[in-house]
This record gives sequence, structure tokens and C-alpha cells, in this order.
Amino acid sequence: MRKFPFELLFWCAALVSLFLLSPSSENHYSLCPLYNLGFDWCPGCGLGRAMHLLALGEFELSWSLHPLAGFAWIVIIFRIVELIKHFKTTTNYG
Amino acid sequence: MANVLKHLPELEGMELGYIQGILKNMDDEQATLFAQVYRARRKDNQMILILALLGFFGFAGLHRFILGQIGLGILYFLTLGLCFVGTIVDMVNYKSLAYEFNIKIAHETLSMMANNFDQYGVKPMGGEATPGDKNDTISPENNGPTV
Repeated sequence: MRKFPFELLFWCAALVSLFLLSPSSENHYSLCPLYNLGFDWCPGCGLGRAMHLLALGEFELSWSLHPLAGFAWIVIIFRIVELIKHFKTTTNYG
Repeated sequence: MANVLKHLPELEGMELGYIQGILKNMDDEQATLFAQVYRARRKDNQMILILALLGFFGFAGLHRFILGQIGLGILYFLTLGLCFVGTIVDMVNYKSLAYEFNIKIAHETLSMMANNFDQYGVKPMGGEATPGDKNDTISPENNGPTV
């Protein structure tokens, strides 16, 4: 059986849900393990909201929430391309 | 035909199968050279797991740097492994990460061997093959598409 491309699906699901869902809404359930443990802040706080806002074109608000949002989009999309290339290489191997 | 268990006994799972597919076109001498270079360059998946676990102590993303994914390494490091979520994903995923890196290294090693055969003093594949032949027999294209 071929190996399940777990990481590829994870990144794709993350980007799609960031684009479609609105993390800023009031009764949003937080996935963040640190937040659920009771910490108020961590270095990645606001990254999801910032990436969502960046996708909608609200650059200034996005920057104020987390400056790395654009970097994160670029890096993750690049990684998805790389994973697809790797997946195609190894699945066609005789 | 060289046996992967004789030259690289530490491999397991998918990597074992993939490297066996590469070694089956080599004789023992070439396989020894390939095994030496490959063993020196490949990354053990346990090391990837341990470096990923360091993410819980504030040093996230070291495994991404080690695997050559600098961009994701910086992102992980500055956001505490995407708030631990990325770290947990990579804990599940560490074998695929190491496998992906090692396949890349195997192809690099193959093309290095194809280019530098005379320097190493190893006879080309198939005894008295012409230079054209030796590229044909061990280039990565024969073992699947290049990465």
C-alpha cells in the first residue's frame, strides 16, 4: 500500500480552512494547545487570523496581528509544491 | 546485483525497498561506494523525531533546518512550531520527512557517482562499458524520475 501523504493533506487543509473560515468570529473554537492549557500568549498568536486577513487583502490589520503572515503563505505554498513533486516521484517508481 | 541488506543493513521500511531498487543495477564494488556515501549523508529518522520534540522546549523547527527546509524552519522557530500544532504534526510525520530527504540524497549520490566514476577508480557498470553506457546504467532516470 502506498504511503498516505499526511503532511501534504495537512497543509492543504490548513490553507483552505484559513481561507474559508473566519477565525476572528466570537464563538470560534481554538485549536491551539497552548491556549487550551491556559496560556494567554505565545509567539504564534494571531498568525491564523493574520493569514486569513491577508488572503482577504487587509494588509495593515494583518500586519498588526502577526507580521509573518505573508512569509507563512509563501513558505507553506512552496512546501506543498515540493511535497506534490516528491509524491509524484515516489509513486511512479517501478 | 547487490543486496541492500549486506551494504546498508540499518535501513527499514519504504527506504529499504527504494534503495534495493537502486542497488539492483549495481555490482558489489559500486554498491559499497554508494553505501559509504549514502550512509554518511542520510539522516536517521530518530534524530528527526528528537529534534521535533525539542519544539516543546522552545526550540521548534530544528528538524526543518536539518532537512534543508530553511523557510519552514524560520517559521516554526519564530512561532513556537505554529503554536505546537506544527510540532505535533511533525511528531506523527517524522518518518515521511526523513524518507523524503533520504530519497533526495540517494539521487544526489547516484548522479555524483555517474559524474565522478573515474576519480574514484571504480570501473564503470558492466565491465568494459563505454562512457555513454555507464551514464545509461546508473543515472537516476533508470531508477525512476529524478527528484
